[in-house]
Amino acid sequence: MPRTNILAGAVWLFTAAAIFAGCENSIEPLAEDANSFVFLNGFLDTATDSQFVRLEGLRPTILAAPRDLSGVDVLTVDRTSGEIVVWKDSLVVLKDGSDGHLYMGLFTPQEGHDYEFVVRRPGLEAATATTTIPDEPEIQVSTPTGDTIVFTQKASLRDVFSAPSTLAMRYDVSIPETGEIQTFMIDYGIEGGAAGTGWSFDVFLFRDQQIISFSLGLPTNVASLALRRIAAGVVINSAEWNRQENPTNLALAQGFFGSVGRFELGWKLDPSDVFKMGFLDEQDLWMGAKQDLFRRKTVLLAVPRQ
Amino acid sequence: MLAVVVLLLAAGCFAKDAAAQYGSVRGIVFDADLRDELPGATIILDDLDGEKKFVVTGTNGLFSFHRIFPGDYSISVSFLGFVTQTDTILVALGTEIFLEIRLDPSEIEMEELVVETVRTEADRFVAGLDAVLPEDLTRIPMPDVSYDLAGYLLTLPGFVSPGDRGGQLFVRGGTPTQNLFLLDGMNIYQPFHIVGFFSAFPADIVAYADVYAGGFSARYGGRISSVIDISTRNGSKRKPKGAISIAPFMSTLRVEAPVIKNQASILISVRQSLIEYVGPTFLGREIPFRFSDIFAKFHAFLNQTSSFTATVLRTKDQGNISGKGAFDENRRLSTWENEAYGVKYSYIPIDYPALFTFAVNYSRLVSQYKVSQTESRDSEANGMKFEMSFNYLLGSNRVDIGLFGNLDRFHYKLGRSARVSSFVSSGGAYVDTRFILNDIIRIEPGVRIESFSHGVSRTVAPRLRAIIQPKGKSSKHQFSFAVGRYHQQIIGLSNEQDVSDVFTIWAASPQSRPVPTATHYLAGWRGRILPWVELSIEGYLKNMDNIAFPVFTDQIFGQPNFARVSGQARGADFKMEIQVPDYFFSANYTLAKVEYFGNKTAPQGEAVIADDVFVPPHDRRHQVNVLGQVIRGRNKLSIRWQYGSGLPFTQVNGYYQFDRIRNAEDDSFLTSNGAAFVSRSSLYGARLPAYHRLDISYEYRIRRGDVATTFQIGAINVYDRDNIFEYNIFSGSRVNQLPFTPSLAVKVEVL
Repeated sequence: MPRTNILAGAVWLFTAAAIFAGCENSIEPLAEDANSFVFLNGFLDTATDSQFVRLEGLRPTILAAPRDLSGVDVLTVDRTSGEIVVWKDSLVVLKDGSDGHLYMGLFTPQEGHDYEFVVRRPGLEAATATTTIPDEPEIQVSTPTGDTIVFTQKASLRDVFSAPSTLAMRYDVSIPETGEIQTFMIDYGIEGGAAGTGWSFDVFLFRDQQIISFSLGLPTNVASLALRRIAAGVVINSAEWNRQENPTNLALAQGFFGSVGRFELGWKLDPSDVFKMGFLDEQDLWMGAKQDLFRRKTVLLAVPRQ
Repeated sequence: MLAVVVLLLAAGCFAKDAAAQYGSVRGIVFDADLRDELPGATIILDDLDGEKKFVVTGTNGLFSFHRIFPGDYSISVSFLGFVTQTDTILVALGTEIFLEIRLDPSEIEMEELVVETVRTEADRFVAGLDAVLPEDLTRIPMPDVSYDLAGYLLTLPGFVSPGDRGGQLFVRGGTPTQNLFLLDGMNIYQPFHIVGFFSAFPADIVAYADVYAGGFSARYGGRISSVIDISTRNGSKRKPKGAISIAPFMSTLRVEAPVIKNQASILISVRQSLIEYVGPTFLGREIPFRFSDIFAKFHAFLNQTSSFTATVLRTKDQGNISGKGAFDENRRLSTWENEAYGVKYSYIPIDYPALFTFAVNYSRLVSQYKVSQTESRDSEANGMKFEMSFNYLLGSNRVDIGLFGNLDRFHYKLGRSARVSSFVSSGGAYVDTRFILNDIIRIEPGVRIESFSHGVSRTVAPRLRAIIQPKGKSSKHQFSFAVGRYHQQIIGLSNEQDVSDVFTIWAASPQSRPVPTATHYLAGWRGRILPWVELSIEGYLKNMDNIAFPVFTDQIFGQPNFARVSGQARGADFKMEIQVPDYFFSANYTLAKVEYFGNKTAPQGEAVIADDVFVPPHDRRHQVNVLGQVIRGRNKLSIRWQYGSGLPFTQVNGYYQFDRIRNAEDDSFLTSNGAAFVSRSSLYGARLPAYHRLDISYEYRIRRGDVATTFQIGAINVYDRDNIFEYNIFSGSRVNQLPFTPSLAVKVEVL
């Protein structure tokens, strides 16, 4: 084996190595479609006609400012009705003093409707997010059971199989002396559990009467208040709330987009049961219409800890 | 004097030759001084009519001649550094002679001799195996005249390292924690120093190393990717020897001496890095790495048949992997310390071709990664291992039987979270065999049966290797195959998202889940197309299951979880070696692909990776190593060039501040800033730039009597390539590997 051949081979290889020195050596940390991404955070709420979300461009590095979204068109499309609402940008001062962008859409989402949130920018693929407003569930109640102290009624939200975001009992009562009608909301927390047909929970009729009477400074052992209406206040989250870690409804967007349905689900108690729970019965005097008292700002009475 | 103990054993004791008209000769060769078996000794059997037969002793110093016609023979045994011995023997019809041969070390240093092969041809070519000798280590240009196994490993095909610091080694698709590093049987958890040229295995202490990239035999267990089994040499039992070397990265002191002349010796090696001090002055920049190791070995012959060995190793590494900032900043500061202690007792009966070994080893790794002044991650692994093995020779065949037990305790603590501890045990037995069916086929079946305290209760891991030489020992072509199943009860979790991160949590595999497993398939061909040119190709397929893969939350600095995924590594290594007197040249190319398959569901506490298929961050598709060496008299020139295609990384879409909405009544998200999150693009969908580097070293050696002095001048990254080591996607900062780094070293040895 001629040694010169070996050396020549080696020299050739090392020369080739040197040529590599000028090869491409840069790094592109951002993905090709990175500019198309936006940050979105918010949800549609059936209890209000003004919807708000946070919307920004992503930041190219962790400390950089968000990418500019000027010239962006933001809108929602009600896929069920076809209605399109254009959202407006507004600046808000964030807690750290910096500016943030809130987008506002003036409409009341309709239960059961599919909504698509669209962010359009020239030359870029649109970022989208979708949600379906939860349907109003049907409530089914059974005959109350128990004695005066533990007097409860079983209620069930049909086809609801995960815990409502909020579950409260609403009582409209009148004070006979004054004729004043007051509404009480008693927070039930995460009460109940998924049963065969839906979310089942107990309504603590007697206990709730005691809480209401006590809060008005009235004796709890004398029927001094009249019940006008009993209803369950239920907030049901859309499916997106359960997938916040791995959202599947966002395209070219990060963050969260969902919706909530707020519902008052009333029923009528038998007069004997109203008396048994400690109220006088004035359910027939109820004017009938749903009142939108079950709002976000409604103050809920806490259930006393045992 | 040729110390030959001829044992005429009853024909029934060992397998007879099929033809009764022949006899056979077998035996074992020892170093008469150290009394260790001598692998690689050449035995020539001359029938006095001019016909000669040659064999070379195997790893345990054993050899055999079959189908020998009855008659008088001259037998000659030689080995580099030993006095050649000859004697005559009489081979009788139908009998087998067993020889115990002890060679005396030569008093005269033999220079300019080419080192003979240390294994039989079949031993040398085993699928997945690279048999490494100290001489191999000195071929690699390094910024250290004492050399190190690490430098050599990084030139092997299929061995992927993300860079020249941190010392992470990915072998044929396996992760660093799936590699088993054994030093005289002691498990070394984190064997590499923070500067990846160096490991806990300096060339001065290595007797030989078996590097299995896969398909390893049943005597090895507990890891599913590779085995690097290093045997250290014993200290001199005749006279004190030593060496001292000074080099910019690492300086070494080695001392060896007889404790009881010709009976017991000690070998001590101490190494300490200097680069931290030398860097600013001589290289003009800070290189904030501090590392050291101490190795000590005591070896003694207790009597004619038994020996005792005690080994200690300690290593310490500290530094900022990113190469920035001094130690006192305490940011991104990695620290790890290995400790290993082992004792071994060996017994070789005079009248029986067997070896009995009992060993107890303890290993410990303590590591810490200080993210900042106030936050750190800590991990500790402790392992105790007991092993008892019996090696029997049955004619030219061999049976190894072993019993073993392992106790491991782990602790880790991440930031402010509570300390987590786990304890596992395992035990079992293995049978490893070698059957030489004829000159053409040799098979090595084995099985390892092991019970684990975690995961599945019992595993049966069959292993099989085969070597085929179509034309017998004179064959120019050889084929080798290996297949095996492997289990690993211990898992190592590292931030594999960033391959440069060295912090690893060692922990037990979850109690109720199957342990990580792998199945290896290897097939190779080697051909000597010219007397000085050897080509080889080896293909492999490695299927892996229950691999723990870290999963990071989108929230920056969120606590990582892990997903249990499966994977497959496949590829082929192509190698060419040219060896003529004074010149050595080798080139290898690896074409590889590693894929992991996401899990669709996960039990409580584990994460999900939704991707059907993704490549892990150590998937290097192409790798080239070219090595050349010229030795002329006292001069030695070594050149190495390496190329590796880019490693995968995950691109980002950007960052955002996100305040998770807790419920429908919560409107604080409208004005709060929230925590920092990252939006990642497709998992490991992009590639870093390719890596390539040229290293050169030149040595000049002078010897005066028993003192040899070696001067070395060299350079790492000769053409100053900006090889990326780490890219911080959060800050956009890039850290490169070592730039052009010249070195000057000197070593003085007392021989």
